[in-house]
Amino acid sequence: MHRKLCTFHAIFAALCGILFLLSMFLNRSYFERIALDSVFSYQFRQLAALSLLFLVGLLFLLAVRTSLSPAWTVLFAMPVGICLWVFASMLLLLTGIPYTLFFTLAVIGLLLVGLYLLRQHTLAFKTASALSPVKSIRESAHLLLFFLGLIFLTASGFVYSFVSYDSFFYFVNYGHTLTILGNFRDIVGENSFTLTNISQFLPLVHSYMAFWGLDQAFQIQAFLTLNILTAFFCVLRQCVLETPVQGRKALFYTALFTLLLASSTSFLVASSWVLANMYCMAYIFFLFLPSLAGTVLPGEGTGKEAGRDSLLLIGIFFTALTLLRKDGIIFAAFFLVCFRSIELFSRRQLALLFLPASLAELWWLFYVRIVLNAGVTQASLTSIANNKNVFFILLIIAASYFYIGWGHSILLWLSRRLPRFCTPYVIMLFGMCCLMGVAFLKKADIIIDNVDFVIRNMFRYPSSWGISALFFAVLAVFSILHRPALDYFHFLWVGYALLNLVSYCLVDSKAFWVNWDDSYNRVLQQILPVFVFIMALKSLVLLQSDRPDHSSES
Amino acid sequence: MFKEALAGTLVLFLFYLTVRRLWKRRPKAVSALFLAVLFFSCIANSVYNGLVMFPDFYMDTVNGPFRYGTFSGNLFAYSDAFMFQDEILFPILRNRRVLLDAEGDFYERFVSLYSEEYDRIRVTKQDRQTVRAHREDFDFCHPFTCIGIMDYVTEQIPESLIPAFEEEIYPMLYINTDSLKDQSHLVFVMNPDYSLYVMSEAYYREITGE
Repeated sequence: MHRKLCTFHAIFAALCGILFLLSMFLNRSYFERIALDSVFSYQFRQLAALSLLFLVGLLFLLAVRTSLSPAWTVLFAMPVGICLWVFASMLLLLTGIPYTLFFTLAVIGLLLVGLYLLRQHTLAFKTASALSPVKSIRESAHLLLFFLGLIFLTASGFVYSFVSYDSFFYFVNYGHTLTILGNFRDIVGENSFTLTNISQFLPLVHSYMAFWGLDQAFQIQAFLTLNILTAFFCVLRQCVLETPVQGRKALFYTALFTLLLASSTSFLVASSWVLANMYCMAYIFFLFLPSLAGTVLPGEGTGKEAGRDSLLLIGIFFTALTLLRKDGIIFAAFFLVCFRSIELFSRRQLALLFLPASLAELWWLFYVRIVLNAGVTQASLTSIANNKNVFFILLIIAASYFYIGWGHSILLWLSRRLPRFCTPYVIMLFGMCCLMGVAFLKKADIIIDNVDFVIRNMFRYPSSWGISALFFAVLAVFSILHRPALDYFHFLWVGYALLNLVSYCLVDSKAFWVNWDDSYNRVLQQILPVFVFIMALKSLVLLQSDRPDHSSES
Repeated sequence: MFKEALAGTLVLFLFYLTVRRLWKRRPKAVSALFLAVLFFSCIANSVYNGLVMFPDFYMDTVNGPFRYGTFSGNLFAYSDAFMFQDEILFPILRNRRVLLDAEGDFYERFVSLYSEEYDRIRVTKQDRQTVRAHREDFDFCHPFTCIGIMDYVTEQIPESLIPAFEEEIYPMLYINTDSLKDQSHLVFVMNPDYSLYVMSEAYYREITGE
């Protein structure tokens, strides 16, 4: 147990607790003037709702006897807790069981009990080398105290968030209405935009808070933002400590990069805006982290078990991404291809972990298109259930499985026959460029405008990227200083950016616009924590100044 | 913008060549430069955010800068400078019993969904005029956008409202917020133009003398 850290974090939690209590007195005047409710009861419900979600995730991770370190178990608790709530909610809504707080918690409870029993079974066979739950909690006590402080902080209501039309219409109000009607069927009408134009993950998160009699889920979003930053700091520090950079230098380096991410305007905008993009950003980052276990972080977990645990987390986060946005399946498929490229898991395992995401997507399409027959008289072009979108989703799933099965081997075969610089990543990027070329040939004017708008949205004043885009460009230069090559890590952000550009220009035939809320601009911001993390990993070599200085030679 | 982008790329490329040369000769200098750039980036970002982003978030739109609203310290999904100010109605309705104007069928689904309980109340022409006459007591005044955009809370839009709805012009919502404190019963009175007056039952009884 880290006694010193425990003391610091306990002080932090106590201070946040005091802030939480003070906030109730500050919020009381405006709150009780409007609502027929006690501000004390309201804020304690906020606290309880956040704590329960965190606890559910933590119990789940302890129940599956993860061999990940106790710290990682705590870091992933909230994202997993949110996923469990949403998956249980989706199950109830799709099967027609009344959507209530009791039933949803009952489904989660059954799952946890089932896992506990399975754990007993696993123990009997002694296959896992994980710490016992009690030991895990004791080992991660300092981080648990820190997260308790974060729960107090976010439950105080002092969170920076802002909303747009979509935030209210698609997420806050719709999520609230779902808790009253208790099913999709009573919402579907002639213009069922809420069912066909968005994915259901975020409304269901807002439903969770509405079940507690709360107005919105800004607090969950704020907590998740702080969770990203904490995970960023902890995991980056772990990675840095794997290198010769140690001690204060490692701490300073990690803190600087975390501060860079936290202070960048683009991160602030993406994390504060109540839209699904924020959750996509979070789950893309949490999807990326387990892939480090066993690669950059050999100490995280042991051998095959690390792989197995990562597999579970990645499977959960793939499904979350698929349910978060209409194009979520593209993000998930892209990461699947990347994981296959570094052979993170076997073909069978990869096929298996993409299965829940594919099934969730297909089930949703089947439900909207066949069971509900949800009609959309306006916005039919953007409906998830229109023929074109259904076709492309099926194509993406089929292509992903093809890549796992044969595509990667074909790419390897091809790259061996081409010049040395033609790695599978280069070939894939070349393929994306070709697709952009096709889009350009079809409608050159729109593509030129789109690219122009992307640049303007990133660099034009006042842009949602602020001046951070400029610094990110400089960081990218530093990251390729030692070895300018397109490897797995660089491909993650370059490929993501280009693939989504292709998808928007070619598949969606979308005309971008100059503004902060341009879809592609927001999708680009989703990769931000992963990008900054990669920059930090790649620039680490610059700190290892054990190389001889050749200044005297000149 | 492409010219600027090209120039920017060239500058970055030159920067890359220079630093790479330096990295080969003086790695310690590059190490220091890198940390300095990182440190400066954090400071510059913070200053920029302080000047441009906080405390309010603005978006540049065709019709000029538009404030998206800040919800810091706010327990409601509400801001007094936001386009959907009528969201305030949700916390107002929660836990309260509503007496809806018997002629306000259009609002029935909305009220029945979001209030604790609801009932109908017969409002005479004279009562309606009295409520309108006390217009200055209704401190909250904003278009009822929720009723316009949430298609799942309206059964059918009245014929007379369709042209206005197509132009995104919605009925007005007036709330007497001063009358709400500690009141569990509300009255919703609808005008012939579908504008809605929300007040506590006690206030309604007081002004109509019932």
